[in-house]
Amino acid sequence: MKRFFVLLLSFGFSILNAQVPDGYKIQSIPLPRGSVSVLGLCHKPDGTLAICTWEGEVWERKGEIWTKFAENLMEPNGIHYDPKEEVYYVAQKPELTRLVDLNKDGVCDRYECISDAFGISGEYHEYHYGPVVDSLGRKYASLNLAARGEFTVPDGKPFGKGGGNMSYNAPWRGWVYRSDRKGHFQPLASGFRSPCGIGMSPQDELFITDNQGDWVADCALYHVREGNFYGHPASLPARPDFSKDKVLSLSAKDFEKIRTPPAVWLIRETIANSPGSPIWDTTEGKFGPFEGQMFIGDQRQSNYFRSGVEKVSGEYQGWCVDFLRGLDSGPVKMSFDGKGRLWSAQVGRGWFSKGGKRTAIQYVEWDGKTTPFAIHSASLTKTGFEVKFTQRIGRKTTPKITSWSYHYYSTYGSPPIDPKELKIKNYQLSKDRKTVTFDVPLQPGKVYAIEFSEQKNTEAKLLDYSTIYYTLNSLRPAKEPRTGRNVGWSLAGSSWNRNDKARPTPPVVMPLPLEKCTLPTPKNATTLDASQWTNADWKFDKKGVMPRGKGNNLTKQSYGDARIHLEFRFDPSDNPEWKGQLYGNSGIFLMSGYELQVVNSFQNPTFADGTCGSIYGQHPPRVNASRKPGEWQTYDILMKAPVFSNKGKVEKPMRVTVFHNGILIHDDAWIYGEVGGPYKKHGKRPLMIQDHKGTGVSFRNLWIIPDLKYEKSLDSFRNLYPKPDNSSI
Amino acid sequence: MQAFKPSLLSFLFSLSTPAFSEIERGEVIYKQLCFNCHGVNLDGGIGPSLIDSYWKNGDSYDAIYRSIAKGTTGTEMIAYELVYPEKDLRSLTDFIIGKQEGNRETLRSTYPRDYFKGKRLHPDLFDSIESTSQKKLPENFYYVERMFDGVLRGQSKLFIKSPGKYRLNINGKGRTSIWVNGKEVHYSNDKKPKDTHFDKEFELSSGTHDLEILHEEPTAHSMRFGVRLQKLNGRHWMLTGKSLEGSVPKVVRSGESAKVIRKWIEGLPPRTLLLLLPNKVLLAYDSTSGKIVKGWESAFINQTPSLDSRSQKQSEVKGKELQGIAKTILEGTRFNLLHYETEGDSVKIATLVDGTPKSFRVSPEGGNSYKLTF
Repeated sequence: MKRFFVLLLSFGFSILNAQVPDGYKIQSIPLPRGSVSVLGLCHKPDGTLAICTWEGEVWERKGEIWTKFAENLMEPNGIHYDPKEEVYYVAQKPELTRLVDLNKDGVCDRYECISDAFGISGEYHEYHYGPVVDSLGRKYASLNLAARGEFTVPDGKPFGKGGGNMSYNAPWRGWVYRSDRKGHFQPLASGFRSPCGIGMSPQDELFITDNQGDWVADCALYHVREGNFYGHPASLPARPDFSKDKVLSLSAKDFEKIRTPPAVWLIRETIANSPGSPIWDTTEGKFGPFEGQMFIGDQRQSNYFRSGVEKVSGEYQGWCVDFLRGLDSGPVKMSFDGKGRLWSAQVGRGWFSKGGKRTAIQYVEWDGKTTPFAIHSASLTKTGFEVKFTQRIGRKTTPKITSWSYHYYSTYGSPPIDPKELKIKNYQLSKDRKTVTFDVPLQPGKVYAIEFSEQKNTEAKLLDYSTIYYTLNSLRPAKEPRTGRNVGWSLAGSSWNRNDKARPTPPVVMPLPLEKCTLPTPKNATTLDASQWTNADWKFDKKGVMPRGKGNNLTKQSYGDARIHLEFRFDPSDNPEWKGQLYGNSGIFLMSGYELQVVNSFQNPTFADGTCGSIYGQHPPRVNASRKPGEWQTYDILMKAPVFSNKGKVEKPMRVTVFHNGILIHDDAWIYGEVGGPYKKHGKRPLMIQDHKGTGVSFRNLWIIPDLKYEKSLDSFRNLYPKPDNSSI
Repeated sequence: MQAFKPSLLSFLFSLSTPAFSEIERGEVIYKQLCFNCHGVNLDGGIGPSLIDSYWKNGDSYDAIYRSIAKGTTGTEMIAYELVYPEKDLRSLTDFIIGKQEGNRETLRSTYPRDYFKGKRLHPDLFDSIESTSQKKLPENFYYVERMFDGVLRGQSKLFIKSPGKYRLNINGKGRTSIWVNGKEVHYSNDKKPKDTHFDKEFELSSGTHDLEILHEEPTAHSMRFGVRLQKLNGRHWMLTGKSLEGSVPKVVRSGESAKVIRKWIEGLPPRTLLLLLPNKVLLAYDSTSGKIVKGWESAFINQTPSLDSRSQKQSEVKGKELQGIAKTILEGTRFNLLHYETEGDSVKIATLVDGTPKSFRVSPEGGNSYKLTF
């Protein structure tokens, strides 16, 4: 252990020598009067810089002049400009807010609440960070746990002595959420402690950085995938399959089983203490030779560091390396302007920042020609690592490799466990002298510090920052899966592929009793009895039950916006061959093209987005509220038809809100496209029930209220059934 | 520790204490004029508080007199020497000084560290060498720059209103020597940050006393040294703290247009909209229940407490609380805030109540009331 700290110290010294890499320079910007701490910034396409401050103001800087755009907000912690809507979005402490300048006089006139469906107890640490936006324009933001409160997860340790401190005081704290539009709130992933950094990659992948503390061994960069849990158990009571009592009855070993580790550990004291938001170099070379890499600022270290990830065994993992030091204050949010300059909002308030100033706005600029001598990136091979440099290196010197792991426990941060120096073999330099490869013993769950302290370039210059850290969660598989795509996932924003077997399946909950879900047919509803269907092979019996027939069954009428009720029942089957997607498969095809899955999901595992109640291939249901085969089940659907432009482009995607057995399984969900492909322009179309290979399934009591106004009906529809005891859903 | 004895200086001060009638005259002037901006209780309004721990233009007798006599450019504080005779202004200064309590007239000097190596900290030692910097701090407590590498000397006056037993609570690391009226009341030399020192008690009479703090500690990003003066079973004053520069008192006041303010206020739900109307009426509208839960007249919001550190402290509402103001504006069970905007002197709020959009307008009425329109 002692030796390890000496090692860290020596990193520290090398850091002191060099601050700003060759070819780069730091520039400071005067702050507007009254801006005591700048928390966020963004650029408009016309080059205007906008900032938001802890004191609650939004300022715009055109040329050199600052003007106040909005004021009296509560701690806006991030700002985004939407060029299409010509508005700003800010994450105020109590809500996600849209700032509208109605009369275009440069001052906000209307403050619109976009989402406030998350809880807030008032404890000061309940920060709200964001938003960032995906290519569909949907907003993402993160919610801090409270620093004090009743519900902590001490895992048997005393308070103040390793027993954790961050508390769950209100619903959805410690979560990341998405908001597609006004009033919409979709919780995405849990397990965050102090998720100050939030970033959206150019491939619509959400990344979060978290601060070390209880249950968080070290600073971390997470790749956020919808439905995953990232480690802080105080956030779990919001999940429908957990309760506070259940969380307290579990131990670190149990949480470990469901936890997704960080893609990259951001090593404390050397790289980061309080990392901010990642941003991707999309400047096409304007910011130097690091195109596509992530840049992250650290509030404590007053530095920018770089990071990159690669897909190994279907998950992202990767590296981080320091890049630049000596900023005035602590960078938390960043933005590239049109000239490829990297700006940051910096704050040293509340938490100490090495830069020393209380706040600052600075940008870093590249001269367009000088390539600094730096470690470019690292990549895992089957037997070791490949490390790239930005320049040709001189005589090769052997790097020093140290590896360690971390505890996962309720104690604040983890020391490195068993740090060991490893021997390397087969050290090779590429012909262009820019890439080295070597073999080293590899062990999943460890961090590898690869240090080139003696390595010089061909001009005998040492590296500014000589250590790159690689987080090894998985080894390269013997055979790389040839999926064709090595970046990105097919479902935007959720970071899963269609029918991804690794995606967490929805939590199982108790349905409401059937008698509570069988509603009387409303007067304005059309009963979809035998007279309403086109396929004669689907026959109603005397009791009004219609078993699945041959071929799909369409209604005679076409429908658009609607509310639909129907009941279905799976024939019980003992045949072990008829399981998964073959146990009672059918589907409710809204407007003939958007499938609400019907399949037995009672103790019959299948992939998440093929579960009963899923929008097939897109959204798993929020929960699995299935009943046993042989019992009748219900769907209540409120849907809004997609809106297309004259040219056929989708302007407003289709939306649905669905109850399965009286439990809300989709809350105003946005449908990405038809089940078989992207949106194609269409008008009203028939409702269709699918024929599918598998055991039998029957339907009854189908009715539809056509042309029901979705927006107007949504609130009362959402409250159609009493909420289950777990009040956060 | 010796029992505290009043020093010659405080004795002299007691001789120079102005006659009661002079202070009374000062109070009369204050109540005629000054209270309009500085508040009935001197705790601020349009102008800054006169009893808090931040004195932008100094808090010594001379500084306060100068501020009154010469005014402050760019504010409503005119040169009152043009209005009142000097005698009145002196009475007024006495009145304000008489309201002070705690540490005042803070003078911070810094000294090179090397000189003090191996020598016991003592005021005489400091007097034998030139300081590296000297500053009258606008704050009534001490702090140093980040990574400060030197020795700190703080000299100030303690304004004591309530005589009795006092003690100092000290924590931190390094060497500390504290003197009151020329007598050392504390000395410590801690290698490691220890538990708080609770020093022996000493008596302080009412009046002013000289305080001198001498301190040296290893260089760190911020000073670890903390001192608190505590009256036994009474209030306390921090004698060290964080610079308020850059977060000088920040208040939100009524203007020509109405304002909607989102601040965290003690006792109010975090999703409260604070509606500040041009007639200085402030209404706390809870957007999650459709109710006005509180109201004030002559109100403004002081954001200053929340500006330091991590926002652990709330902003505060200043003003006179209106009684019987609580009122249900919208009946319903589920409230979703849609948007708000200001239109001239009014605020318009739109909310979804049980799924139905509703909106209302709040406008000022008279000097201390408001009206609602739907």
